[in-house]
Amino acid sequence: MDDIMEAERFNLELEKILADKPVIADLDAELLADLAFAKKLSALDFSAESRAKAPAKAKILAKAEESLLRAYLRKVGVRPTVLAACALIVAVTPLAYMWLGSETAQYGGNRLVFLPHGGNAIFGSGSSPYEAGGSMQSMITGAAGNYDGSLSGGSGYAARGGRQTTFILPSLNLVQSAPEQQQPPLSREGYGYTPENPFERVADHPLSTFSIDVDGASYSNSRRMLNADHLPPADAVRVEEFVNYFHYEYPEPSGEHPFSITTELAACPWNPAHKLVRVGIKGKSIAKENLPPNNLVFLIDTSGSMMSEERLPLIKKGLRLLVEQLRKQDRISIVAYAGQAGLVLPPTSGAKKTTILDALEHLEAGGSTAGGAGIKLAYETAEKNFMKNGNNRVILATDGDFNVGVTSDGELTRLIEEKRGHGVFLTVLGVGQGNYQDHKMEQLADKGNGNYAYLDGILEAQKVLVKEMGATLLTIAKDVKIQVEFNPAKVQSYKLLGYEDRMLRPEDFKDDKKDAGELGAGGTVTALYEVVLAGAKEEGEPMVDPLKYQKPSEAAPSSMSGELLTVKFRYKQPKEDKSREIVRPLADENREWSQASPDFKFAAAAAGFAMTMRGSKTRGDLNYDKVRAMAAEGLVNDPEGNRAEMLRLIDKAKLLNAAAVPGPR
Amino acid sequence: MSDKPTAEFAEFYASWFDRVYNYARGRTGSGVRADEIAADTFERAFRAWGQFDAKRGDRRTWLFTIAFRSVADHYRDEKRSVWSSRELVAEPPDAAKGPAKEAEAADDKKRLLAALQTLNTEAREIVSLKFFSGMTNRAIGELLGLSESSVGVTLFRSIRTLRKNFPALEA
Repeated sequence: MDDIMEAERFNLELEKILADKPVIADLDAELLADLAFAKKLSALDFSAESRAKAPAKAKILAKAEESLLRAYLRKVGVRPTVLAACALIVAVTPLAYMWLGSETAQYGGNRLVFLPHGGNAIFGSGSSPYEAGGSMQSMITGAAGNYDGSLSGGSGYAARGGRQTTFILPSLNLVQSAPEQQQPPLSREGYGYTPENPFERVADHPLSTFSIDVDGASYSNSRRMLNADHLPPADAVRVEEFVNYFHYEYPEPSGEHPFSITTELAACPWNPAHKLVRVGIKGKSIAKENLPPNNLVFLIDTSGSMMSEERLPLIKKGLRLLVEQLRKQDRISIVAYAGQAGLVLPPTSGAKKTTILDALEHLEAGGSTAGGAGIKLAYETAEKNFMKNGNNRVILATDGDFNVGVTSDGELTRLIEEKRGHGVFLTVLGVGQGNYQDHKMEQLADKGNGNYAYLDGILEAQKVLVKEMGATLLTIAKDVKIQVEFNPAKVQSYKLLGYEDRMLRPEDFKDDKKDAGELGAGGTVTALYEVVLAGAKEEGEPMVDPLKYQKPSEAAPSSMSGELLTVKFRYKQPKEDKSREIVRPLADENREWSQASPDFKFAAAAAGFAMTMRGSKTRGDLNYDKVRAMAAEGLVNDPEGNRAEMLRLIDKAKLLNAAAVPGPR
Repeated sequence: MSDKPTAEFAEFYASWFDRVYNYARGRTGSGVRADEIAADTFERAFRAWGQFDAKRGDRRTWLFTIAFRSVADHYRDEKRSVWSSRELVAEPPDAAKGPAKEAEAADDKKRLLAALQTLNTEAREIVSLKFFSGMTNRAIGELLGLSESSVGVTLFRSIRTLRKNFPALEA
């Protein structure tokens, strides 16, 4: 092209103009305009908008201090493993308190101080201000202020005061607090759009079929946002995951089936003309010592986005808790993605905790994204060490900004579905905010015979990985589907609360090729139906003329006339491909809401809370006050304080809602 | 590591962070990405601090080579994850809206940034490197495997195209 000469002239003059030097006088007007435009571009400065500038610096400098410390300890003869062990004590001590005593105990300000003396490390614990001298002090203070106490071994901060070396682990603040939320929780988080289930007319749809969903991720993710003073977006709130976050007292199964079934019926609290039906199942609990051997592969996202405190460091803390539970017959492997891509830890016995913890500890976020196949490698590792009579599972920890190493969505799905056929299960642990890919994580877990939890803090990690370890790690029934047949003589229409993205077609129920959710050991699942009784005059109900060519529905035999509905369950044993069925009819009865069990009340409150935040159109006269009152009546059987916490979140949501700009919500 | 390199790095960080951030912002159009890339770049730079060889180029070129690779890695992720909805989700709103004049200036900046995103990847890379890193055309060419003159030509054509396509941005 003939603009090459012009380009040359442009570039020659550009250097001058960028250096604020005068350009030659006889340039043509076009070129002058180009140069002026270029100058304007070069003056663009967005740096004031950066949110990472200060935290990233503190993080990097903290690392510098850490290497300084390591070098020093090497010199005086303390090996890094000793350091890891010391840090482990630091990590475990407060947790032990937590298990023993009240969960809400606060450990802020608890510091351990290591004072190496002539090569012998002595450590003491106290809350006195640490001694530090020299130029490091400001750095330490800054770091301790910015981070909520990393439990990681050796990631303390070093300081030198005179001839003495003081090693300070920053304060362990195990209470979930989010005082420094500078960033709104939503920026490019990804949520799937899920329209609410409508009321279905029994005449048109006598069957309601869905897959179970054991996850509680939507609740903990919403909690994270509420704690940061933001109402979650409607699509981040999944009603069934609010309900299933909580544990309900269902009886232990007895007999041939691996789960028990509980049903309950009462007047609907937000619309007394309707009825609310609860269907609950509980998987067989298995004592920790009787769990089959675990073949676990931790696939940990170590890409740059995982750097911040609530991501990789939280994952490390959580997995450390899990590792503490493991036994010598268990095998752990660690695959890191990005940075130190590849197999970080070959299969290692659960007895070798120090080795495992050390490998975990050395994972660092950042670094180049090395060649792809993280998830592939993880599955290969799981298969290579497959335990025929064991629990084979990949545990994927990520913020979802995860390069899975295969080139497309479809390819990834196929890979995961294929591996599912080989008996490897999947657990997805989500962390992070700002770029959190909720929808992707849920899909991954869904496709991979898996479950999915969102970790918003160490307490949630403890709930998922320690207290509910069996439910998280061991599948006792797979492809669990529920189909409810409504009796048209009794029921006019119904609505399933939540499970929008778990709906199945009626014919999928008996189709054993059709994937569905898994139930873990000791896990519970609850589904709620709002039911409109036959003959009710409903406002706003979709009106259709009576069908002309259909036979009028035949009345059910009188022996069944008292039945409102029948629930059918299908499931497979974890290693089988053929499903089994359980059938359970539910008789109609007249029960006031006040007679409902506390668990039922709480489950309805959890659903109501989610529906209110979603702005559900069918929530009757439900509002935050009503939801709170309902939840308060369900405050039983709450040793962990999870239910009480929901009350606090309801109050917060109400406040935020009142303070919000009027909008569609 | 002694205290000295740490202090040295802190100083280096302070004087270069904004440029790297601006480069990543121009290159990707996203503030969130720019933060991730800038943080990642400096973390990599810190780890490679001792490997810098003054004979092979200056700190600027060294740093922006790292930044360039960080962008490439981030985009590799992005291409592969088709699911990602990040393009659809709005950037976080500005923290504070200043007086009208400042808001106008901010609008202008946003429009320029948006205009930049209409360029193809290579042109956007060259323009971002040129105007935010301040590298020479030759150094940019070496980094991208292009000749110095083709960097110059792309630069010129990009500026002219932008100016013609967005006459409102000419002031």
